[in-house]
Parts: sequence; structure tokens; C-alpha cells
Amino acid sequence: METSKGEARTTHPDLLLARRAQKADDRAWDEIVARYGERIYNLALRFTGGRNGEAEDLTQDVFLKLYGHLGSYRGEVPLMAWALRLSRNLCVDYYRRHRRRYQGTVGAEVLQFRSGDDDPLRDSWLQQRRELVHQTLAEMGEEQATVVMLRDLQGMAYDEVAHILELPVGTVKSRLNRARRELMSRVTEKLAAAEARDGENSSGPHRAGNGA
Amino acid sequence: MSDFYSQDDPCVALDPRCGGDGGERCEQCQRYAALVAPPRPARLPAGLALKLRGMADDFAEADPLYIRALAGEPLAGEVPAEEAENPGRRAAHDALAVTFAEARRPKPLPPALRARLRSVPRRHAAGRLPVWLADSRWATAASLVLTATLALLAGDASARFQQTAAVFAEPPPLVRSLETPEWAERQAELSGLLADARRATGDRLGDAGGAASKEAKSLIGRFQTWRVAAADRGQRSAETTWQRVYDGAARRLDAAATTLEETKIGQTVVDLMQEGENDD
Repeated sequence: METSKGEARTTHPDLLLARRAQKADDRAWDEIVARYGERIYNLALRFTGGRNGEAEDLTQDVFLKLYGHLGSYRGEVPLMAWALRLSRNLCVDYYRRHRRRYQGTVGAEVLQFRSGDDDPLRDSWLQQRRELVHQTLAEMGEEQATVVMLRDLQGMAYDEVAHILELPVGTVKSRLNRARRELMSRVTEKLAAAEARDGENSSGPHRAGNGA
Repeated sequence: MSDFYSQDDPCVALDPRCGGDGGERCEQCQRYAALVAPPRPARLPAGLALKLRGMADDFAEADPLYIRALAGEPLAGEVPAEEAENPGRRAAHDALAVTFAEARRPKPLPPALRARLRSVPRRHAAGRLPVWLADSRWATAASLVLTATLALLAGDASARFQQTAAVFAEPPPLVRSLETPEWAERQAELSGLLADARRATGDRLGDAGGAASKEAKSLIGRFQTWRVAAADRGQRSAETTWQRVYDGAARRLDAAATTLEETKIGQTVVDLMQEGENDD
């Protein structure tokens, strides 16, 4: 692999792509958009709560930033993680704005999902549950919520998360552990309270099988 | 020597009664056996399979129900012991499971956004314009208003008038999509004005070139200022920006009329405008 002084010894294949895109190779840039556009957009949906098209704005801002800094990419991590590290403050700004404006409630863009059957009651139940989890996540501390979003909702590797957050991998893991316990505990608490309130009948379709 | 020493498994305490006639081993032997016995094969912990699949290498410290939800493992038929004490736990597993499952089915990139992302290098190269400004219908409309205004102000090339008028005669789809009464009214007004001016004055419009180009430069400067300010405020203000550009263009048209009043050509244009108003 082509490397220059200062670049990582083991470089990611994205480096070549980035170099080509930097040299105005349209196909290389299109490849970057095709490879990472959807993932960054989905992450942007998490950070913005999927309201008012802000996920599209954030996605575009991330790509603008990425293009503007292509020359400093060294291939240590996938381009996406690198771009998100560049745009971390931007993402945090959107996230804080979303929490402040909407108290963490998520919009239709996030809640919209593909139903597996024709049972509207069950769909509604699933939607409520997902809304509750997102709401709970938004009520948690920003650091914990972010690490859950990156790792558990977006499925990023630990080293990617560590790179984006500029933390050691061990710290990411311990923070994630605390966050998971916290999330589980809060969701449990809310649902137990709801169950106690509504009685047996409101326990939902999970009696007939869970929704995973 | 007692029979003891002929045994295959001698007593560690040298007790001849130990294990005699198939009986129990002495306490010392039982302790020893427990110490040296190979560990019993452990049951595969619930989270280990997940760990091997790379989904939760920190499973040991995490809540097992959380990890199972993360892996999309159902709890069908199972009643975890914890559930008896806390009825919310199973429901929490289900809620998390559906959330994680859905999160793993990514939303597709909207086609319009894909187009915007693909155009990033082009926009970047074209003077670092914010993409939204270069692509949005508001910016297109604003640039057309600006073009028309500049054409009127510059007024030194009938070809430019023709070009501008042609744009308005056949507006591009983005402009057509505006379809606001105000825009339609202004568009008709500009279109009519330009066509009439061209027909009535022809090449003589060039006489007003000096003063008009000064106005045009001023207008370009203002447009740049609006653009930068809008970029700083973010995309949400695109519409406001367009409105300001539009209003600014309208104000400059009025100012242009004042400027043009000082020339014969300017008076012709003003007369045409007044005629138009009288006709209405």
C-alpha cells in the first residue's frame, strides 16, 4: 500500500480511496458516498432524533468536513470513524439541540420501521417500546448515551468508537458497561411501573413471543 | 504390610479402614480428591457464544438480559428467575431487543441527499459554497432574481437581456416549483419589464452602463454578505436568506429606477413601468 511519511504502518484500504478522491477522482468520491453515506446518515438520525430533516443536514456537514480534510487522513482507521472524529463537536451540537428542543423524543424518521406482519396492535406496541428506549437513552448522561448509540445501535467496533471519542478502548468498554446497566435498569423500572399501573392486560404481545 | 498398600488408590492418611470393602473414603482422602480432581467441564455461559461472535466481549460484566437483547435472542418460553422479582425485566429485554433489531436495519440514504453528497467536491471546488445554497431552490430563485436585477442595472447588452428574458420565459423546474403568488407576480413583472425595455430601447440601454455597473457591484457585494451570514446561521435559514435576497433585489430595482431617471434611457424604463401600473 502506498504510504507517505507519518502514515500508519498498517493502513486501511480507505486511504487509497481518499487519495484518489482528493485528486478530484469523481468515482472515488462516489465510492466513499456509497460506502459510508448510509451509515453516517443513520448515525445522524440518532444524533438529531430524526426531526425536520436535520439528519440530512448533519450528514452533509460531516461529508463537507470530510472532503475538506481528506489530505490529512492517514488510514489509521476507516474513513467513517475518522470523519466522525473530525465532526464530533458538530454531532454533539446537534445532539444537545435535539435534547433541549424535544426532550429527547424521537421523530418519525427514527421510529418508522418495517413491520413484520399485519398486526397493527403489535406494531403499535413495538413502536411504543422503541420510543421508550430512545427516550430513556436521551435521559441518560451524554457520555453514556453516545457510547451506546455508537456501539449497540450502530454496531461500530470498539476501536472505531474509541477513535471517535478519543478514548482508550478500555475506557470505552467500561463506560459501555455502565451505560448498558444503566439503560437496562431504567427501562426495567419504567416498564415495571407501567405494568403495575396497567395490570396484566397491558403487558403486551410479548406473551405470544418477543419482538426481536 | 497391610492390604492397604496393594490398593490402586491408597489412602493419603494411611488409614487401613479407608475405602475398605467398597466403603466410604476417609475425610482426608475426600479433601485430597477434591483438590487434585480435574475441573468439571463448565457449562457454556449464556454470553460466551455472543462473545465468540464478537458481539459482547465484555459480557461478563453486562446484564445478561441486555446482552441477549443485543444479540436478538428471544426469551420464548423461558422465565428467568429475576422476572419473578421484577416483572419489568422481561419487558425491558423485549423493548431493547426490538430497538436493537430495528437499529440493525439501516434506513436507506434518501436519493436527494445522495445527490447532494456526491456534489460536495464540485461545490467545494466552485468557491467553497455551502452545498445547500448552491442546490436549493431558494438559491436558484435568488440567483435568477439577482441575474434579472443585474441585467436591468447593467443594461449595457441587449444579448444579456435576451438571455435573462429567455430564462423567465421558460423558467427551470426549480423555479416553477416555487409557485407562490408573490413570486409569480414578481416574475411576470420582471419578465414584462425586461421584454418591454428591450423592445423599446434596444441598444440604447448601453448608455446607462456606467452608473448601472456600479450598482451591480454593490448588489453583488450585498449578496455575498447575505450568503456568508446565512451559511453561519445554518441551513434552516435558507428560506429567510432567499427572502432577503429577493427583498434586496427589489429595493435595488427601485434604486436603479432612481439612477436611471437621470438618463434618457432610465426615463424610458420608468415610463414603461408607470405605463404598466396604469394599465393595471
